[in-house]
Amino acid sequence: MDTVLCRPMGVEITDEALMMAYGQGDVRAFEALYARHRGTLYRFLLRSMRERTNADELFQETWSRVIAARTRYQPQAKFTTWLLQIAHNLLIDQQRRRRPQAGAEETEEVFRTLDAPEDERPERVLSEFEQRRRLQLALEELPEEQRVAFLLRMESGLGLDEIAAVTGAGQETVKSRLRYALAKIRQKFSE
Amino acid sequence: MSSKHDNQSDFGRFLAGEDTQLSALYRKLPPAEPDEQLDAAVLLLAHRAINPQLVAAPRHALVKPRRGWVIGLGSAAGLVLAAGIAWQLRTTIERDAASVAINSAAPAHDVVVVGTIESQTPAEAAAAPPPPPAPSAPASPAKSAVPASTATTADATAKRMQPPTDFERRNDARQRREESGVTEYTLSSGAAGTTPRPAPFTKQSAQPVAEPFPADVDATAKQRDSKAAAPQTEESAAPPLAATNSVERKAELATGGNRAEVLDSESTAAPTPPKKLKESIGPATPSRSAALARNARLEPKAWIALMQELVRDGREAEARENLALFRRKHPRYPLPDELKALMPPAP
Repeated sequence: MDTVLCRPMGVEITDEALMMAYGQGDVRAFEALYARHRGTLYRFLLRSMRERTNADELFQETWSRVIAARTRYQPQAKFTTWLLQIAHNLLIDQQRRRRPQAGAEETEEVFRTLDAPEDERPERVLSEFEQRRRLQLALEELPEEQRVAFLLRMESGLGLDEIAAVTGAGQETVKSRLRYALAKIRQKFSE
Repeated sequence: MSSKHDNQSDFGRFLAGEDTQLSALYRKLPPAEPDEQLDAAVLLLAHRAINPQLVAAPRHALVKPRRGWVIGLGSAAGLVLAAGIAWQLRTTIERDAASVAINSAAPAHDVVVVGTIESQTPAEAAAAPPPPPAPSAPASPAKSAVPASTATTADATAKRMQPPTDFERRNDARQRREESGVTEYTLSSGAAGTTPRPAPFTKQSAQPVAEPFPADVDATAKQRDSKAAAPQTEESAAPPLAATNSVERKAELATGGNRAEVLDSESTAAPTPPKKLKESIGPATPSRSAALARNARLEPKAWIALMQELVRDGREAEARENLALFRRKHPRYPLPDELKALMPPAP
């Protein structure tokens, strides 16, 4: 059933509509939804987990749960919020099970495996590289809740209420976490 | 950024989603993306949820089995395309053969006039008429390339003095190339020269398969998707075409397969000289070869799950092929019992 994708030009199909269509059997709707959110979700998980293998596992599991819930899905909340909520819950479960946090060597390894932007000029590479590195390290060193809140805000563009919905915390708690996260990052840059 | 007021201001802008120095720096972090295997695994899950019979690639689900006429139309289009490619290939090969023959015939012609042909007896040289430029040109170099035992008989010489037919001309050119190690795959201007094979024809390209992502997907996803596209699995293969060149004819004779199979296997295999073509066309059909290549890129766990699915569906032959390749790629990876049972007994 492809009707959900056949809309007049300029009419954006919402994530919620795509998810509903998938629930009714339209696989192409899922593919469109997946294309929209795969990068954001992956980066959120990778930067939270810091290990690609774990991030891959959680990524697949998150989508697996989305797929399993397709017939029960109701657009009461934004699809993004729902998706990240699933991911966050899996993240918490995983972090409770996993070993102690990765050391600096592993962080460097992850950073090295990621592709650098192509348009860097040699004379500016060092300073920008060093800035990105510091940001990456700063994120690594944040407490879990603060890092999650920061990534949800920065990566997914969620508002306070949405972050609160995803994490199950109150809005003021989320705000505090973000404030502390920013302060710690700022401190890292001033070292 | 040091004063408390500045920090508050920054935080306010951060919450408001305004562009700050930090957000600009964050956007410059390496843009990690899920890899192809992960994408394929997720999409497979999504397709299987809707279509549980689906075993292999999600593209299977996009080909609706009830629309047989579409498949037939696609096969017909593929035949026409293959015929066109074969005709072009033949023309190119003939042109190359003629140019090669002309280039090497010129000195021979001169030698004939002067009377110092090595491979011709004086009687033959005297009897040889001044060759017209194209038709008999292949005769002389062919003669020098042919082993002495066949070129020295009077009958063979007499035959070669006659203007060769098209078939003989092509045959000679092919034989000459093969003996000199030059084949369709190594000709500089041949259809398989710098691009080692003719324009790839696959059943996939002949069939109307829906694009999985809409137009607003980024270029990376589109490229990934086109790479993942693989010729598939309509076991109702196109009816065999008559081989129009000797390489394909050899392949047919060697394997009993059809021409479409030959082209498909070439599209996934590296270019090899004709004598190796037999080896590259194994028991697997082209669609299976492409599926195997795709499966080989899966994580071991996912690949094992796929093989178990094949066994459960009664597709043991496919499961065995996958298992053989899996074992080569992951020799030490532990196998579940049902797959161990498929392994060939140790010698």
